[in-house]
Amino acid sequence: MTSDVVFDVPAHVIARQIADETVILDLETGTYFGLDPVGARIWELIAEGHTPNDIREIMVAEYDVTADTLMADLEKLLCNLQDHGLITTTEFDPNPDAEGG
Amino acid sequence: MPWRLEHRAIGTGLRSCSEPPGRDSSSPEGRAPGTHEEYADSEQASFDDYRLEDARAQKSLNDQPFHQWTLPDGSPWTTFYRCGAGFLLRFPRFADFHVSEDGCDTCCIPVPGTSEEICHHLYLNQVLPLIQGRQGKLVFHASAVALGGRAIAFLGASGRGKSTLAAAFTRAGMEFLADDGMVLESTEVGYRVLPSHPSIRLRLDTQRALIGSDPEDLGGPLLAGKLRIEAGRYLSHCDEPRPLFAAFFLGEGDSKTIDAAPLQGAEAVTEWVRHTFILDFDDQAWLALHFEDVATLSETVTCYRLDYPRRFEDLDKLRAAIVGLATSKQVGA
Repeated sequence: MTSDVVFDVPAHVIARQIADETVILDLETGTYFGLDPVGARIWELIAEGHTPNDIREIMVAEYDVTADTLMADLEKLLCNLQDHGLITTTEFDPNPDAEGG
Repeated sequence: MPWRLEHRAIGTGLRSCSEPPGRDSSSPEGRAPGTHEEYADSEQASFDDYRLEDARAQKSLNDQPFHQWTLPDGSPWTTFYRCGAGFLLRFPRFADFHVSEDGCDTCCIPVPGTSEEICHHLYLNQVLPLIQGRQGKLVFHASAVALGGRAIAFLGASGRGKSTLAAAFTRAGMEFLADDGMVLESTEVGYRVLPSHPSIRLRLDTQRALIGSDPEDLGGPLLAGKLRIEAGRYLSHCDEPRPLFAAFFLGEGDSKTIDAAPLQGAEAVTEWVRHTFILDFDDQAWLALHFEDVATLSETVTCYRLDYPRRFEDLDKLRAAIVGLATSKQVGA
């Protein structure tokens, strides 16, 4: 997982926070997924358009965890979400309003 | 702080129903218009709102069913087909029900030899809940009883004890609201259970244990080993909506004691979904709306996972434990 990507949540994937968990429904398959409170926080950051680097920095600040441990778990979760088609990646554009060419 | 990310697939709740769900449905017959204005606004399909055509043999179909409910022995109980823009619900050897796309028009074509009473039973128990779900109602495979002006619900697959619990509460002086097909209505202050058809279907051993009369005295058709007992002499029915405040999802009966645990978050959502009557699994707009409903439901109704040994002699103790949980919202029966 490179750090210069952002994530998109496909239109067929909807999510809802319930208490401190997040429930995700893939409408195409009718499959439900659950994220625990830490996973739910990451999902929130994903939906806000943060890059993996952003997420790492925010999570390290919020939780009592080392950067290495965090990255290992984060990579695992992001890959898992991608494997299930719950997120897709696009290249991060640091200056989206600039003219192309 | 030790921590670990978790991400778990919690099943295709929408497609997990392999048992024939229950029945039924909506407003009590003979309600005086305007007596309960809010409820009158939510009146749904009546209990016999379908056309009965002449009997004929079931034609073989080339298409594969898109869904199926099976009996415990694996044989099909109900097979779901698309038929033009609508649906065909086939009960092999009994009847076909053709349902329009919007669920507002239904006709039944019985197999020769299937009585009108059986057709009505199939409509009440299997078809009507699906139609109501199609029409936007929240319909669950559950029974419900009135308790202190409110309602508690029992959800579970066929054979888990929903009807037995409803009958046990009713025999102890309370009233039942629904059996098998529980319709919920959203209000500004939460969800309420609408009264269903005023009858409970019980297995013969349950009927003997809880009521004690000979089946012949009770009337009603015997189908799939269950006897339909109308409300009246033996069972009291609540004919007014009641706010739902607790729901119990019944286990398989593996527990040696009464074992209850709170059910929250993602698990609660999937349990509600798992026990929903759904006609069209591919209608994504419907599924998205339903997802919002069950998510809200799981936040507003106290939910428990409940398992217990299935012994008639323990029903009083079980009932007391359920009342304690429902009223105190504490675990530890």
